[in-house]
Amino acid sequence: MNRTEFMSALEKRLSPLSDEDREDALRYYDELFDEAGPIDETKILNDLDDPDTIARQILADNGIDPDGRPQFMIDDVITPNQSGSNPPPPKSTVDQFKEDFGRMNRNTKILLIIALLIVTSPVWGGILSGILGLIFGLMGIIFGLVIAFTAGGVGLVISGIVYLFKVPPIGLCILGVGLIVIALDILIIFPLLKWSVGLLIKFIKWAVDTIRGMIAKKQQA
Amino acid sequence: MGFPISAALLDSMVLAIVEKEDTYGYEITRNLREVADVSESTLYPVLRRLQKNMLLETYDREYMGRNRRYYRVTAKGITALDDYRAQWQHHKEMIDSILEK
Repeated sequence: MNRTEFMSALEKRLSPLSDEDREDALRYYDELFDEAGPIDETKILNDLDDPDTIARQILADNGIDPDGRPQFMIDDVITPNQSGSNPPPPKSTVDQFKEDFGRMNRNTKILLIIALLIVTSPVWGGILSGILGLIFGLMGIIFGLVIAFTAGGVGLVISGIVYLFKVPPIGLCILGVGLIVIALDILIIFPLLKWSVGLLIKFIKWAVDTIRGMIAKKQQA
Repeated sequence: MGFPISAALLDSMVLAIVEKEDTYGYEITRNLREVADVSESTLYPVLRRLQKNMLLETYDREYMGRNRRYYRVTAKGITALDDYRAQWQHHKEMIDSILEK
């Protein structure tokens, strides 16, 4: 092995590293050869461990398992007539689909998912609109209650005050009922509204998070 | 030599060599090899680690038509070296207290 062979062997084995880390390491060893000069080239080659050992050490220092990467030492490990292992077992349809799916590019995957969603839309579309309808219906009821109680209470109080000057006993009665209605509005209906709005916000957040999670997972795949 | 050199000891020796004067990889190895059986392959990872931990920094200087990469100790490196020296002193005294007659 000479200098050029040493350097190219080292470079090949350091391929899992980032460009910066690899350049730095190669530069260091290149410089050692420069310092030793052409006469001492053999001496430095003897002093140095083989590129494989050096690369292992550097990869390990960078948190990369040298043997976890198939491209590492591929030229040394794979020799012909050594593959006496069993043929791989036949794949199930699901595995085959997974493999095919994994090989598609991103755009194809997205198109496939959209097509799948459209085809199955009668099922989940119905369920989804059902749930949405239920939620909006309940919200409508609660809003209706709020408006009815508030408007009713305020109206009764106003007419109570008006009657107070015409027929005081009836005016007092109407005013009292109006105040009771407003009290109920504040005590029961408003908390109900607050609670249901909070629930709706939580639901929307949950739905958004779920969809985001699904998209993130799809992109990882 | 019968006593292995630990990573911490190697770090402190490299720091101490560079502290004396800024120097380059080949020279550091030569210095180290005068006192310890260190292979070339051990030194590069040590230098890289010290550099990544910002105990050493590098700069290039031209030498005979090519660039030589010099190493220099940072302020952090000097603190670390002082710390290593104190630890080593302590370690040496402990061992000596048993070894010495």
